[in-house]
Amino acid sequence: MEHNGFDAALAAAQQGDDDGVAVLFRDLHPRLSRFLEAREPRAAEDLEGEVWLAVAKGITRFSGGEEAFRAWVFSIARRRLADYRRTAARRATVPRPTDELEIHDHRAPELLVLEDLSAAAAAAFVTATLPRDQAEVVLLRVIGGLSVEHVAEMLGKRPGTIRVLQHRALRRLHAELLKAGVTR
Amino acid sequence: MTSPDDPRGDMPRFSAHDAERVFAERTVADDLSDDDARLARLFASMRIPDAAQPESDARMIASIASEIRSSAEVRPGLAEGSRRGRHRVSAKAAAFAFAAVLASGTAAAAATGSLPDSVQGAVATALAKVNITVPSHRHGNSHSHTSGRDAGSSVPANAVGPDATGNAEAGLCTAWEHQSAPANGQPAKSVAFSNLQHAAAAAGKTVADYCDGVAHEPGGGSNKSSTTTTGAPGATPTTTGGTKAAKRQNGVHGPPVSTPNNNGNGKSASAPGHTTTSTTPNGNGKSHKPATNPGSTHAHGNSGT
Repeated sequence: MEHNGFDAALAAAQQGDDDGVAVLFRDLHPRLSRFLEAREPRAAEDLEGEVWLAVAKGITRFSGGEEAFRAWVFSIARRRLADYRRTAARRATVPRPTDELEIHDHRAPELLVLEDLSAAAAAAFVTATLPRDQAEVVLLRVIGGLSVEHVAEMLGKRPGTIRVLQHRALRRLHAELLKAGVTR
Repeated sequence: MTSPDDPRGDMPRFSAHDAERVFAERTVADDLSDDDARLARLFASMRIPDAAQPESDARMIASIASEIRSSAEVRPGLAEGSRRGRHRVSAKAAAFAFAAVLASGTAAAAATGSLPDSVQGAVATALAKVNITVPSHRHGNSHSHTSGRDAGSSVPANAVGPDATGNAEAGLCTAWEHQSAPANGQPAKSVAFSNLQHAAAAAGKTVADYCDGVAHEPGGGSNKSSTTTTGAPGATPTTTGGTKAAKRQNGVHGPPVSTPNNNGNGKSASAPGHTTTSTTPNGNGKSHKPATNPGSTHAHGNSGT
């Protein structure tokens, strides 16, 4: 989105203007939806609604650029995810490790054909392949379109730590793709 | 043995620059090495937008916009609410103050600033709306509440004040005595006291002498007021000094502040037939105390709370 376009859309959205909201929603919703599906597929839709409601309630107080706005929205998404997981953990009759829950969409690497890979399958591959902290960094950077600095701030880590995490993630993903014989 | 997480392994290293290129949304895979290109394609796949769902998107957008609008309305409302909370308090104080003032038979208590500060302020604010100036704080504070165009002036040019020759006379005299006490230490500057001084001067007396003949009369009321004191519903008032018409001629708008309330609801007795002096039984059958001590006058259960 153009810088001025974002500013105008944000200003309009803050007034409750449908067109301004539409611009922000159409830019962010696919990313948010993908992020939540990758993190918590069974609750993604509900969480999306909660995130947008929180955005609607807080947008008039927001000030900043486009990436800051995305970072803000994804911060909300992460908090809602954490809330959801806490609640789910309390309600669960048979507790299961969270990692196990994330692997349920895992596809065998040998089935990966990058050209045909859907967005959801690609995100699921990343989530299944990487440890949670690395997967989160990759999802925020790729789907959220956030900078190292914003991700670091969001996760409460130093930018250098994020760079290390993403570097390890790239190496691991690269290894998995090679293992699957995926070529360009 | 190295783990996949170990950067010292055999797998390619990604410089920070390479990593940024892979993560960048606009990277063209053809510009990258094979290793980087695979990752870039994977990431590009993650960004493929879902098929548009115009209807559900439109509904969602409308809901969000609506929520924003209502939030924007509620927020000032909340702020307003907190202010309203304060107003509620001052409204109570104002209601109490009005009742107190009306029960005393005059607005003199407020005019002298001898009410408690919180009540005094509320009364001052309330009276300012009808262009009557009284001190907003107790003794010695010249800050007054006036209507908008008079703001900034302690005594607005068009302020009339209570009629010192009418119903307000006794109360004004009582207030004058209190105001003249050494603790006050302030000369009378209010319009009400000016009126009293004028009335005394017109009678060729000092205020003290003038009040001497007023304050000790039976009932503490003015013998110059011809108000009937039946207190009965439908009684015809014969007040000559403080009728609404007379006040209106003097430029006073709104409820006559020197008219006591006898209808037991805390409102000014503006309707004809309900005007009475302070010694007359009120609408609820209780008798108001004479206005001998404005500072301690109480409303009789009609503060509106």
